[in-house]
Amino acid sequence: MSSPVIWIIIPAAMGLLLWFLRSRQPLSLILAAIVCFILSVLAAVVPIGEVVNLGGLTFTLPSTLPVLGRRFVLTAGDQMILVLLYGLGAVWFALAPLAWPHRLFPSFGLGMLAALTAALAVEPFLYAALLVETAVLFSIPILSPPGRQVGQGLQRYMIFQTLAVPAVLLAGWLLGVAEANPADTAMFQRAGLLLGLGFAFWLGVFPFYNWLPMMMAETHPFPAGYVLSLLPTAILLLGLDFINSIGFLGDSAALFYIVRIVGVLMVVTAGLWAAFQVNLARVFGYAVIFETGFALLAISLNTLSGWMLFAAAFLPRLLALLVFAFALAVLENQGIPLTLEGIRGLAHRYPLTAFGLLAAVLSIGGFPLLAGLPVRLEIFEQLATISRTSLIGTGIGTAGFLFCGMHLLSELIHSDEEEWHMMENWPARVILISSCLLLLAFGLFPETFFQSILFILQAFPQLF
Amino acid sequence: MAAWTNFIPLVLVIAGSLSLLWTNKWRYNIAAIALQYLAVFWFVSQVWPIGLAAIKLVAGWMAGAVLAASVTASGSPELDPPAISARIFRAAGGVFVLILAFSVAPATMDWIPVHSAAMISSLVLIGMGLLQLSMTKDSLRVTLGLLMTLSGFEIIYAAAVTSVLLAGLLALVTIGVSLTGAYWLSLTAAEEPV
Repeated sequence: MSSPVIWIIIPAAMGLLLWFLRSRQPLSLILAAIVCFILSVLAAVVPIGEVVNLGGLTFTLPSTLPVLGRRFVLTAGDQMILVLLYGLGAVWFALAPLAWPHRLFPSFGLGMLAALTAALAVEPFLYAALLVETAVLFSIPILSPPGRQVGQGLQRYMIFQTLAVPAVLLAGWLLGVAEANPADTAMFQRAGLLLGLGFAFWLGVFPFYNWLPMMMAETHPFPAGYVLSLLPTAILLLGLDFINSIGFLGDSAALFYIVRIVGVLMVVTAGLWAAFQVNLARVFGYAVIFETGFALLAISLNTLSGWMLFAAAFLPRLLALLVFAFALAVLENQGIPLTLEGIRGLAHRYPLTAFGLLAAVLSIGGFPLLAGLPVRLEIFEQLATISRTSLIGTGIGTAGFLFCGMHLLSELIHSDEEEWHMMENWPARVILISSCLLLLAFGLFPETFFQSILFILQAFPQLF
Repeated sequence: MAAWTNFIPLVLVIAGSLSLLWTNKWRYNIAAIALQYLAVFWFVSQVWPIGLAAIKLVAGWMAGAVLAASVTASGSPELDPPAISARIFRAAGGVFVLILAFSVAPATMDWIPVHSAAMISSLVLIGMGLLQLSMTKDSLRVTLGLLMTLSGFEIIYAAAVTSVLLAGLLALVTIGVSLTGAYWLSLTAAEEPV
């Protein structure tokens, strides 16, 4: 038994098992949540590669699993990443019975997690492209479940994610060639270009992001929220792994300059489009673009504080997207149109859902006292010392997103009704209240929450 | 193998990809993709052991069979034949891709070690696949476009890397893409209760 067996093979096998249990939706969702929770706890407590003394039982958990001449490696440095990924899975599966209890979600969702963990573990890293593509293929049945028509957004998602595979695979090979002949700088440039193109397709980087809002508008918000929380998180970590492993990327000032420009463009365009958007599902798509833009800005700083900001941003981002998707799912399940017109006066009937929506959008926009602000502020400060133009651009994008939040607020409370009702069911009320309180707690006591997540950086020792 | 024989699969690739652009009849489209995978196998077998190269052929034909079975099972009607103006537009796009592939191939051969017929075939497949993807909303044609693009890439990548795991994973992706296309084709308009 090795760590890749526990965190890759077992969840993949469980995904397969849950496929056979798909007719028992609540049971399979609860099982998926329990499996993810156990794997997350194990990642937090069992040291990989060290002697473990459990009662009278002494054993060592090896970090490597060889497969057909290649290796899957999950070391002690990766443990916090495993906690994050499987913790994310546990929360989404646990909430699914309330938000989207679809029979395909547990098996394919768990398959996605296993494939993305494998992508982070595989050596040489170029194989990661094929494993990410496998995760994308697993995501298709949950994004377009039986009975739901396939739209152009989903097709474009599939196209862009698949086009990333050749780009990343070729980049991996070119890097090998370039490292054998370091004098050939042109080869490094070609490899960097292809790698950048691959990541741009994967992350939906400007200008390849039009599928994101389109796909959100075509699918149920909960599974789309799951995919768009998990996939960018894993791919950003993979990107960090590439920068960590490939020396010339870390030393390339041009790379970080381009990443900064792209990050600013993503923040500006997503913020401005969100400000004028009337479809809330599309706003979710812009929120993902906006968050990816800020993650790229943190990467572009290429300093210890930049990497720390990158890691610290994961929790508020994932929490805000979870609350946003859950609130949208509550509305979708009630047949309420996900448009500004459809939610007019909603605060009088669904006050907690309305509050959840608002808290999520404002947190993503960096509103004071909410989870998103501390990281945003720090990124603004760092940008101010590097590039004022980038700071102004980012400020414009942020203002756009906050304007979207204010617009949402005005529509939510705009009603002729005088009476207030609370039409959410009790479990949904508990979840919405607790998640909004968490968003607030993150904003009020950021250091308490951020310190643990910073251990993610242990997996990338070459960065600093 | 004589150098001129490499132009046989190149002709197959060009004919297949142009016919994919020209007609909407799914039988011809599937036959064209099957021919293209035969060409891919031809090129890959020159740099990989024949047994390993056969994975490409088997995976490609399986992908075609999955799509054909799905079109038949879903009872999807044939798409209307494209108007003559659309055909001319597509053909012009195809010719443009061919010119581009022939003119770019010598430069790309400087950094990827394959012979000219393989490189041109690869670029034609990638270019025609991208052209196909940019011009359609139909799930079958989107899937065929993705398979074309991936198969074009596989020709040049096989010359660069030989690995059993890689061959297996690429075959998995090929079949996975076709299964996705088949799944999309099978989806009905009626909303299913969750």
